[in-house]
Amino acid sequence: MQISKETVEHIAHLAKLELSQEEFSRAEQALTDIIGHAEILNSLSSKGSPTVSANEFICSRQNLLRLDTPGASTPKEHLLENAASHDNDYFIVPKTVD
Amino acid sequence: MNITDFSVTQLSSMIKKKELSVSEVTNAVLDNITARDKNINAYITVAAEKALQRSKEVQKLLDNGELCDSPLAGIPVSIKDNICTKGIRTTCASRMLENFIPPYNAHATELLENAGAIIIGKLNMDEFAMGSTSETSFFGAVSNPWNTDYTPGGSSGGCAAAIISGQALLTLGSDTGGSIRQPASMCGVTGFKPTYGTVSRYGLIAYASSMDQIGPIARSAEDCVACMKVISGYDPKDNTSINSTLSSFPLNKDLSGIKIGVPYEYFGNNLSGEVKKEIYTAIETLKTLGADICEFSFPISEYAIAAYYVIASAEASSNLARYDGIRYGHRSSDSVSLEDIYIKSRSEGFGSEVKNRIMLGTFALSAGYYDEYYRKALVARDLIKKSFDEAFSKYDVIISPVSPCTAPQKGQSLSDPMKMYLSDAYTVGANLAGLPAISLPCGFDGNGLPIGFQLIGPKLQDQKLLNIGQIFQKHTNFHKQVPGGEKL
Repeated sequence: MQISKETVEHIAHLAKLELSQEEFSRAEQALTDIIGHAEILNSLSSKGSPTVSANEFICSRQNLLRLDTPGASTPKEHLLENAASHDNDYFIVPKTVD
Repeated sequence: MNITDFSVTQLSSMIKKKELSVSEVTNAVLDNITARDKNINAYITVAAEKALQRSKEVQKLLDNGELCDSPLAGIPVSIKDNICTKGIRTTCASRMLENFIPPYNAHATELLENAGAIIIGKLNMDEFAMGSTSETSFFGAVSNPWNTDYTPGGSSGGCAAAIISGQALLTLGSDTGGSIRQPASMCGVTGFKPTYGTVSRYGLIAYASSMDQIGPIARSAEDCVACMKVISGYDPKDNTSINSTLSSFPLNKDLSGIKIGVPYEYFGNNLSGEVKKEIYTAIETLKTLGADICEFSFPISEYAIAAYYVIASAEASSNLARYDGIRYGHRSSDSVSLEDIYIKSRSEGFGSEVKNRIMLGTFALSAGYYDEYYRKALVARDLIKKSFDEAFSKYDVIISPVSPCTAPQKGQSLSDPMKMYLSDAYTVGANLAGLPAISLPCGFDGNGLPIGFQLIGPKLQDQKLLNIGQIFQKHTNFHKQVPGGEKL
């Protein structure tokens, strides 16, 4: 399956990525190659078995629940330290509503 | 003999007997890093000051009679840079996290610290663990210490390169599709991927959550056991964590009664002749040690790469959506709107290979393609797991190559990513099925580059694999070879 330029543009838009010319060509080729290889999965359709979510598949059990017990949280100032822009209480982003 | 020539088990005993101080051992590793890492680039961050400070604290604890039962008290440990270390920069080898200093420890890091291990620094890798050569790092490619024109494999290439060059005694890596076992094989060291859930993923920066697993890369299976004793166990902070500790059945003298399955399909035309020859020699050694060797057919393996890349990329596209430039990670300075911040920060922060996988995963999950690719990949995964279960009803473990070839030359894989993806054919099965697997050194190719083989075991039979590894290494010297000669 050849992945079209329009598809690559659409996928980049969904993934919120802006690709350089070189990256665009590379992604187009990589997608075509790996999706082409993934066509092999079609031969499994007649042997299809019930599928489950990735976590159920690995753990084969129900969701784990725990008591909703309050505990210590990471201090706010430590969480803000890694943000590119913040004041004492909040992350700062450009104005979103006029 | 140099301090760094001893095994973790030997050093642990020498520290406890006061034949060596914790600072002496830490300094020996730090000295090797200073002397050797400019040619290898195994480390992204060396936390020398913190390590020396912690050495003094651990020495005091030992002098007071504490930590007596810990196999890692006073042992320097280096950690792949996608595992969070409180107060030590954790970059995932990405510009996106170039300045990220975690405010918390990964559960595995916390267990190491509680056991008195000394965190030396953070090891280089493929960006976000996506790659098989450790060349996609924002901090530059890692070189293979056996020949610096070659890659060390990946994605935990910094771990394997640091071990074989004496710049680390024990390392924590991560394995999503072979990232512990493949670099271990290409550098001639031992790598162990535990059963999924055995080691908590809390604080491991997510790539493909249903397959990511932390495990040790060390010189020997014995050193891997010492590490697993500390880092395995239930963690309520990871809801896929399993309550299991290593069962400590005694090490047998030989492999009598062990049935080893050899899948035909893993020894086909894609495997290089030199690798095949050395693995067959290893199989003969295992037979001499008493193992019963049986060939069998494992046809489902041909679907493994397709299933793995669709599922791993789908999970990656979801996991990496969190990097939006707002709460942590790179933020573009060239943004005027919120949408701009998202797009430009991600586009500047991620490298090409990461972008490729996000694109692939987004495609596989998008409307119109989900059923055709993602759902079918889950069907394949289901069948692969069932095939492994069936094989383990007949065999204790399965033997296979780790990689079709020895370490590739630098630059080769970046120009042909599909070839790189296909080279994961032997390792991804264990991740898809959540199984434990170990990579053990077994020889060299004509260029003097290491060759390894893999043993895959049933779920939660981690100790059995480690025991077989230890028995093999008691009767072979491949794990003692280092560039320039033999150790010990």
